Amino acid sequence: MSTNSTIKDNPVVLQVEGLKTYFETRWGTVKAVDGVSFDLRKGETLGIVGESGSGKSVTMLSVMRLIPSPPGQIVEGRVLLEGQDLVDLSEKEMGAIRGSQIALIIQDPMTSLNPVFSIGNQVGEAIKIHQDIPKRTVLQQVLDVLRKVNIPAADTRVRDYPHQMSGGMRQRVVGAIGISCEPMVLIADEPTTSLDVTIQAQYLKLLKELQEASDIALIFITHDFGIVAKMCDRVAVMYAGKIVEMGDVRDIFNNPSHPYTEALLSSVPKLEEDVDRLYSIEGQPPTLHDLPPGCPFAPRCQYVRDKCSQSYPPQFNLTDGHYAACWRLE
Amino acid sequence: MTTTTMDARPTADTTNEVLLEAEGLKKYFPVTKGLLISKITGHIKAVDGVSFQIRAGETLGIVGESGCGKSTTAKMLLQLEEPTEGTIRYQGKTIHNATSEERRAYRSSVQAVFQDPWSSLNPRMRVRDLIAEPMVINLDLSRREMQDRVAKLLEDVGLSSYHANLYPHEFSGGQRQRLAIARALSVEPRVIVLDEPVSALDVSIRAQIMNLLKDLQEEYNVSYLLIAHHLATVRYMCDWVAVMYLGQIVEFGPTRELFENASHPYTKALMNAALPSHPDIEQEEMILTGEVPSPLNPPEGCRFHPRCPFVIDQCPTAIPQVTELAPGHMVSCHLY
Amino acid sequence: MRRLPLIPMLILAVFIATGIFAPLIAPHDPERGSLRERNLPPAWEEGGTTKFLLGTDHLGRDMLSRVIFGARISLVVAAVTLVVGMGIGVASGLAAGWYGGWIDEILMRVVDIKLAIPTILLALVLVLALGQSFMIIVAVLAIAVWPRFARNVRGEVLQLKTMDFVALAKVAGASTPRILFIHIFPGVINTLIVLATLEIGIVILLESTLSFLGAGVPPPTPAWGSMVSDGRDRLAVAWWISTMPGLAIMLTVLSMNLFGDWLRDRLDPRLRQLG
Repeated sequence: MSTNSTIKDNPVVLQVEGLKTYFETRWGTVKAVDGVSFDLRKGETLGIVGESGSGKSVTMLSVMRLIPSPPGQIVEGRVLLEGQDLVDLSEKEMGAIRGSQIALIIQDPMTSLNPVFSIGNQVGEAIKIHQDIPKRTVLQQVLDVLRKVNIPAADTRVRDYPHQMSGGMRQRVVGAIGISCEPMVLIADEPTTSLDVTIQAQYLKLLKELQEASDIALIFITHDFGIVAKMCDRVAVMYAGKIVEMGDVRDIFNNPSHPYTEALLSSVPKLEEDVDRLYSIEGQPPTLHDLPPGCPFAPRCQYVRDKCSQSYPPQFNLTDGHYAACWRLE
Repeated sequence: MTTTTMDARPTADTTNEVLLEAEGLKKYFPVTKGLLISKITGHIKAVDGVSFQIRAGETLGIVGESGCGKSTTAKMLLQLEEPTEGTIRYQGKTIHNATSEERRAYRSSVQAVFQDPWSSLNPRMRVRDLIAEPMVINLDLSRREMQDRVAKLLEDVGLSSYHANLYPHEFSGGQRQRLAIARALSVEPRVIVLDEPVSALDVSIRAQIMNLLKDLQEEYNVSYLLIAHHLATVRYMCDWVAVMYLGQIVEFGPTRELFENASHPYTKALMNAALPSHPDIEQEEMILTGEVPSPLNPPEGCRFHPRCPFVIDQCPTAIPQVTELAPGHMVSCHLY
Repeated sequence: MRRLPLIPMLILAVFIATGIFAPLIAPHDPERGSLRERNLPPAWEEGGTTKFLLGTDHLGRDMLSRVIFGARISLVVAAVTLVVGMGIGVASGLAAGWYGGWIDEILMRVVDIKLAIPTILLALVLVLALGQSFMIIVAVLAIAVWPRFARNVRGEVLQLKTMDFVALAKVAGASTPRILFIHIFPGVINTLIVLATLEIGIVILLESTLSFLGAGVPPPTPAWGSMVSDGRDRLAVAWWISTMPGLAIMLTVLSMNLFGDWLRDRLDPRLRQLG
């Protein structure tokens, strides 16, 4: 985070423009991602925060082109990875990029490893798919990667199967697969939710070190503002398929400008101080197939006014790179 | 005051009546080996000598990582597990040798709310029957009285009486947790064990449920035992906090005192590992190495010593004494 | 989602209705015939008469009436067998799953042993030893079906008893019978319904097989299996004697299976793997 000023000068590696991903369901069209735009620089960490159903995970699956189709489809928008539009690529071309230039670490370390292959096998597989290297050196590379993610006694553990490892170790193996081909962009989807706090701290530190070592651009998909505070340079807050506020991490924490961001931040208990009473956001997150016109947060918003239920607010710029979509800022 | 097992029983500034008391609770699970003739080869010491008190109208929090024994402790209080050793006293009476009448009274005085709102409500029962079940079993009420109480409970937890006719799948996670709370309250218990009551919920819903629990505590004058891994939640909800590691309480104290003067190295490590609430909060770099050892063969001496950054000579051999640092603030560590 | 199996359901409805109302529907007495009218072909064949729509058998009994009364026997045997077999299966499955330990061990070994013995062989031995009667047939068939119920119910119980709502029922002070009947058993019903529809087909087929082998419901009661057997030697001269009841068996079992498959998909997608 101290390298903030230098990161701002880094070249953009990933640019998402007006991304829309819709799902056709029995109840109608679900606009899971509805016009999302952001960019990501080399070495930068972006946090995408939202609750279940906010579209944060679907955004990332769209970027990876992993949307099951049908029922899902990217209906509009561009995803530019170093200028190349991923949306237009064939499945085969995308396969070559996925894992090697842009990689995904999925939520659950229990299900993202195959129980019948040794971990050496699985990390090796990821390497072999993307790199044309002789068999002998694969093992060497696997060991290198496992050491990079701080797996102790890598040369013996490489023969272990997932069930022989603890949750923290498995999470590291998943991380190892993610970085095995030195991607430019690494997406971590709730990477630590199932880990204990002390193990989570170890893992987050590791990710930070890996990022600094090779200037990876990192995206954290999370519902936890704590992860954002600890890890991210910039934040995008998503609600009902749209980014409602985006900015530098300090701008978001010091000057939350969308009522949803503000409410979320004040509804989380604090470790460092006594809070007499938490702010609680009433109501439930909306169901996406039946969105009201206007701002989807309006029914739960404490600042709601007439206009909110009529049309969706545009983005209002606050400071450099900090914007929010709320009529209150008009 | 120096003893060898942590006695997490407040001595300071509280006059509330002691409702529930655990003394020297132990739970060992046998580990067996062999296919035909199975032999016990060891014991998993899930809980190994835990004492605490729950006072009327207060909340005691137990924090710790997975495998520290906090859930097993809760299960023993709920009589879902039989303690290997130790006693549980309710209003001064030992539960172990209680008459069936007293056991019955205990059952309706100690209720529970669990983590997963999808698994804790029987999907085939209507809300009405779900909430009324503890009353049907324990109280002698007419149909009419039962209905009225269900309606009142639903309103008390922020739902409406018409919800009584629905099935659980028609509710969201947060609403289901409200139903679970209404059910627990139906027999007007004195203590409710809350096992990670908000961790399965969406962030914007968690505050709703935490506030609801606080309001209901006031209204029903009920005590809580909160089992949680999220420290900030514990700080918000609890009057007293016990920190558990490998089946034992390592530090105990009034919430504020404990959070501001965390003394046991494990408590400190937990606090440093917890995620900050603001990017400007600088955290001490105190990341523990390794993982929690197996409770099958817990380390000799202080159980935390293999991972402790401040380890000193006597740690691997001697069991640490318990020291009272401030009124009610107890720590079990050689450094003090 | 699979479509509603209309034709199988229609066939089953006809089967059940004829089974229940057999005496009202059947045009003739199924157990009496006139030797003068024996081996008459079905109405649409050369030499057939509309008096005997499906022809007559070698004793001059009306095939249609016999098939109709055969449905009744199959229906009764299947229903009684299922009630008995399911009862034993559910009770032992609940006990094994809930109590575990040696109860589970003993019950499941019995199930294993049962599943390792060929049913037909067991049935033949039992009928030979104990004699041929309706009760014996039902008992034999119940022995054949209960293990599958027991095993499936046990599996469901093992899963259900780890649910938090069971623990919470204990916390509320619920007795074991209350937990078993209010919290566990309703969770097993879907599985039971699906299993029952699939087992009915098996039971009907088994009963027919036993009757065909002469170890089924004693004659002259018209059972489909023994009718097929009766016509076996006359296939060249009077093919309908075997074919008509054979078709009835096939249509009923096939419809039952199609209906059961649909129900299984409908009620519980997890069951798809069990087959």
